[in-house]
Amino acid sequence: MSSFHRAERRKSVAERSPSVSYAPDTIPQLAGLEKPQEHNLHIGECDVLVMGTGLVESVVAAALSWQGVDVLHIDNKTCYGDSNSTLTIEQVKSWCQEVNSGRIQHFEDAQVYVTGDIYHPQSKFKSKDYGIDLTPKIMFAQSDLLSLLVKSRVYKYLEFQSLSNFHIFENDSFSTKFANASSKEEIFTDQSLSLLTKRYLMKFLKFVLEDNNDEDKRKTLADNAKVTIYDFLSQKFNLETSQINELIYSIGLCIKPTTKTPEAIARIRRFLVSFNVYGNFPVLVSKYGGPGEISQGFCRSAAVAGTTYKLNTALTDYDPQLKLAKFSDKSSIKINEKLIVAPTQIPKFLQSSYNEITESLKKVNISRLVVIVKKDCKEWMADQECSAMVVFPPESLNSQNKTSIQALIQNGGTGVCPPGQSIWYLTSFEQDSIKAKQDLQCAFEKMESSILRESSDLDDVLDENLSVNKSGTSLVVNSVKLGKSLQNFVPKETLEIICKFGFTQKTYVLNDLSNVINPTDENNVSLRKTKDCEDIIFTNMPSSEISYDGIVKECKTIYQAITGSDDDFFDVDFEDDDEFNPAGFHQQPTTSSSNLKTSDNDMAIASSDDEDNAHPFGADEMEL
Amino acid sequence: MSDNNRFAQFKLVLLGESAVGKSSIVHRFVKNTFDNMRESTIGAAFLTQTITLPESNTTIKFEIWDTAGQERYKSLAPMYYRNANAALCVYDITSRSSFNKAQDWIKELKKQAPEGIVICLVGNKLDLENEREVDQQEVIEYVQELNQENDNVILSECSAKNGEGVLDIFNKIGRALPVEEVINGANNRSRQVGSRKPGVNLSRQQNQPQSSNCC
Amino acid sequence: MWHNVKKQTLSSEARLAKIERDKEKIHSYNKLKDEIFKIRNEGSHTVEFLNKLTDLLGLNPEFYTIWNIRRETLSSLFHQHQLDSQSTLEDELKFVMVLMKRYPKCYWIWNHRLWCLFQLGKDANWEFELGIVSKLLSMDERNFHGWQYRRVVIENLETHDDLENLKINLQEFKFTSSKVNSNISNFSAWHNRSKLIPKVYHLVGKLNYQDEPLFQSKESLLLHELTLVNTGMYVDIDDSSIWVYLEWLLSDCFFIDELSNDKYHDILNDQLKIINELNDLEITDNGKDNCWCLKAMIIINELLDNRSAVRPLLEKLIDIDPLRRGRYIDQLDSF
Repeated sequence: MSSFHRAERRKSVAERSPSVSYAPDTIPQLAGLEKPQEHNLHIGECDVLVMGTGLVESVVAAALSWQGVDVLHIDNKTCYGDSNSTLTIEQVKSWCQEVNSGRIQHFEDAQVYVTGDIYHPQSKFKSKDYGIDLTPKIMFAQSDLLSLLVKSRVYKYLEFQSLSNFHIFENDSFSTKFANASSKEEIFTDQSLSLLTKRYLMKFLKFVLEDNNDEDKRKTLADNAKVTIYDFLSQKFNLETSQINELIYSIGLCIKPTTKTPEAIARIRRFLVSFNVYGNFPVLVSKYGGPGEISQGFCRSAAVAGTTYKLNTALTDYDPQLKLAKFSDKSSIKINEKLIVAPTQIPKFLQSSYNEITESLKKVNISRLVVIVKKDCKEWMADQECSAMVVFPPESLNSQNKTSIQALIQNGGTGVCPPGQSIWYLTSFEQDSIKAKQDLQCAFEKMESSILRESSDLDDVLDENLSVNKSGTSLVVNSVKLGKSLQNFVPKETLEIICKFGFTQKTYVLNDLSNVINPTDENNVSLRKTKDCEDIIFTNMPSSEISYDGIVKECKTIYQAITGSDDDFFDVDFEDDDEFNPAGFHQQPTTSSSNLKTSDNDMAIASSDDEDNAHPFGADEMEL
Repeated sequence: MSDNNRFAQFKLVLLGESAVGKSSIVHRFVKNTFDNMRESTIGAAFLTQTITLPESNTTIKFEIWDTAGQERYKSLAPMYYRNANAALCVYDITSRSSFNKAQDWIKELKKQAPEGIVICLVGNKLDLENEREVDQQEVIEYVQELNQENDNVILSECSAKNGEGVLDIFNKIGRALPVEEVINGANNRSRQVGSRKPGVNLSRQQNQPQSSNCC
Repeated sequence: MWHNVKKQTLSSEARLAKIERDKEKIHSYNKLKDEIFKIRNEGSHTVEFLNKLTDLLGLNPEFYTIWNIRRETLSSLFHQHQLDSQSTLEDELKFVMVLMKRYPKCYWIWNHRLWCLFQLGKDANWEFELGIVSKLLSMDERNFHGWQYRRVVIENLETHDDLENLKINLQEFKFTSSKVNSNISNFSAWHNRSKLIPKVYHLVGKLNYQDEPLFQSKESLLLHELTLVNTGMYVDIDDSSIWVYLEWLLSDCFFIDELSNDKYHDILNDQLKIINELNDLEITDNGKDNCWCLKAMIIINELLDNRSAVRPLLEKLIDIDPLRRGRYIDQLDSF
């Protein structure tokens, strides 16, 4: 693969205004105040054309741009995010139409129902009060994308909230055992677990947390490479099914009972190591939307580094000899190096090449059901939090689901919908899409009756239960509170639904991410080659993974395909911005107290914007 | 550091046609007091600058977002407008078309930005008075018309080049912002406007007590 | 290849730049330091000098001489009425707080904070300090300085009112419970607990306080703590703090003096049985005895005067814990 020569690129942003020889006059680069590149104003050429503003494409655009590559980033839609978009209700409706008319590849069978409420002139809520993710995701506190967000400073554009509650549905009831709070603490204090069980659970957790290079651990994993995690846990650690299910499907977020031990252990590990990184929770969610929001953050970073953005623009033609690209707005541009093309942005003339590339690859279906309900679902969430996960293990539903169903619930506190409402994102990994729909509907109904029951008036439920169960009131109250068996529960009210939205997405990324983690020119879309389109790199459709795992690796694979190496991927050395400034603590003698300097126009620009100084006690952090 | 100094933070976004001098205005605003201590803003995702309103003993911190060129093809992301408390809508007094564009941006702001955003319509390049194409009276009338519809638009002219009127812009905005609301609301956490991000701060990892004990 | 070259040049550039930057920092640090010592030798205490000390401590808070000089300077400035002591000390606490967040394990910072509080005398807000140290311990629950500081804070919160003191210390006891629950390897928390138990028990008895069932008798208290520690063993057998606490429970005169001989023997035998079972599980899983179990069994057998049972345990230890072989052989000789 030809990597393009350094001399052909302009200098990286760091080289153009190096942070080292920092003079007081220099404006911080990320602030976006760098003078626009002259040649960008009338674009005649660029190094790389990126098509599609999905998460991977946006990260790649930013990474290239910061290293001095001239990037033109376009999207054939009018909003950011592509397959990772965060959409308003109106946008969801038109998106569904586009999908069903076949204009958005890899999406199928889109259905949407919206209550008339939202269009009522007196309605308090408008379409734009909603942010619905096409690919809902949660972020582990210890993960590569999170490190990249911090390193690139893109996190500064975003807001994050914690998510601690992982509920598992089992024997027709919901429970959260040791997945809540710090796992160790739960195990230590849980009265329902025997000393023996506690011992084995802790032994297992210790094994999981053991360094991955540890000889014994490596050997154990190698010996059990073909063993399913269920067998491993029951045979080697004497654990019972309910504990095993929670470990595999809730903590590990695995989707199949046949998941092999090494993969499952890695998944469980990622949960456990994420505790206490930022606090007593494993997972974060970004406010106002997931990947759609993060894509926008990276696009802004790319723009600051010099990328040019053009939405609502499609490639109409490309001449590989002249390297000339023509666009839907009649403009044209010379592309010096490569074109990165998202699968939803493929122009007609590239379709056959893409088909050829994907011909022999295994296609994976992901089915989603998104429901917006008029309930904040606080009952499922930890105190002060606005999101929760609910997991249905295989075979736990009446529909005999073969794979697990994962549901992310977010209420108005996350900014994705108005207060008092919440969005439920249910995902099925079932390949038969008719069966997937049944599973999703079944899971939705369980969630519906559960939330109705848990939020029912206590007196109502007590009455109802007392007639059935006369064994003692305190027991009943407890079981109601914990949302135990739903079998005899007939909800008195129904759940008010604002919007119900479902679709199926296809991807060539396997569920275990193996062809992303270890990509080859055989298994990965981005690395496969065809004749006649040397300059084209296709990206993958989003994976089925509920976390952001695999994203950074995908970005690096593409970055490397362009520059020849991923060594300098986001090799940007931002100065540390919370340098301590002792001058803020200088004393003035008492005699000349309170001499606020005021300038002529009776306004002073105060010095120091150090956050610690602004809040002497770090108010929010040391709050009592 | 005076204890009874009140503090509030606001997000301010820039808008306007390319090359009207949006960045230069901020440049001038921030640079005037750019001293060695200011190194702390390096690597920040946006510029910050504080002003003090002496009459109310209030320090106002502006978190200033520039367009980073994304306005050129009308490709500003929703993120840009989100939770913005104030907007500088800039035109060039020597360019008629830039004023027309500024009016478009104000329309865009009404669609995209949160309700109650303080908009400052700024005519830049006051130093080129003799090339003026946009009559001040016309702008005044335009703004009066807007404000009749219950908008919150203030008006200013400046020269980023010689600094004239730049501080005045931020001074006016500072006085138009709902400072009281923010300061009072900071006590009850629910208020969003201008308060510091209440979520998880990714720049502050906890100490991980994984390794061996210290005692 | 291009990328290799580039990587090298960039990183060496960056490295040089960093060295350059650091050099500058070191240079200005040394200059500041020399200046400070020069002024100090002249014996001049000015506000300007104090500000220089602030700058230096911001760069290096581990330099304890500077903290001493700072206190000397502050005292002198207060004495000369150059600075108002109360407001200055309050600013000082803020300064220390910011440093503490950056260097939570620096002893001198904690030390200086206490000095400021003592200088403030009755104006010191110890409840606020308790809040701070609780927050700190929630972020770094095993910070030894934090725990020590906490004890000083509690001492200063105590009054002449026994009931108040009881409530404060009960609160502390509950605090250690929560810390132990969240992380059983918290040696400081266990240690604090062993200090609190006699104190609280004493106050409960003195006041005839009925609201705390746990502290009504030493025996129930002991059994409660043993359950806790037994759970700890099962959860993390190799955690030393648990075994240290177990030894304290079984051998401290606070408990033993009040137990009947029979009762004491029953308790010891129960523990022996539990530990033996745990050791058997370890043998099944790992194919060998567990050192901590063996050592605890030796201690208990000694307390029971079961001298004959000790020897085989020591012999096993010699086998599986070669590092401390010599010590076990010595112990064996005494039989």
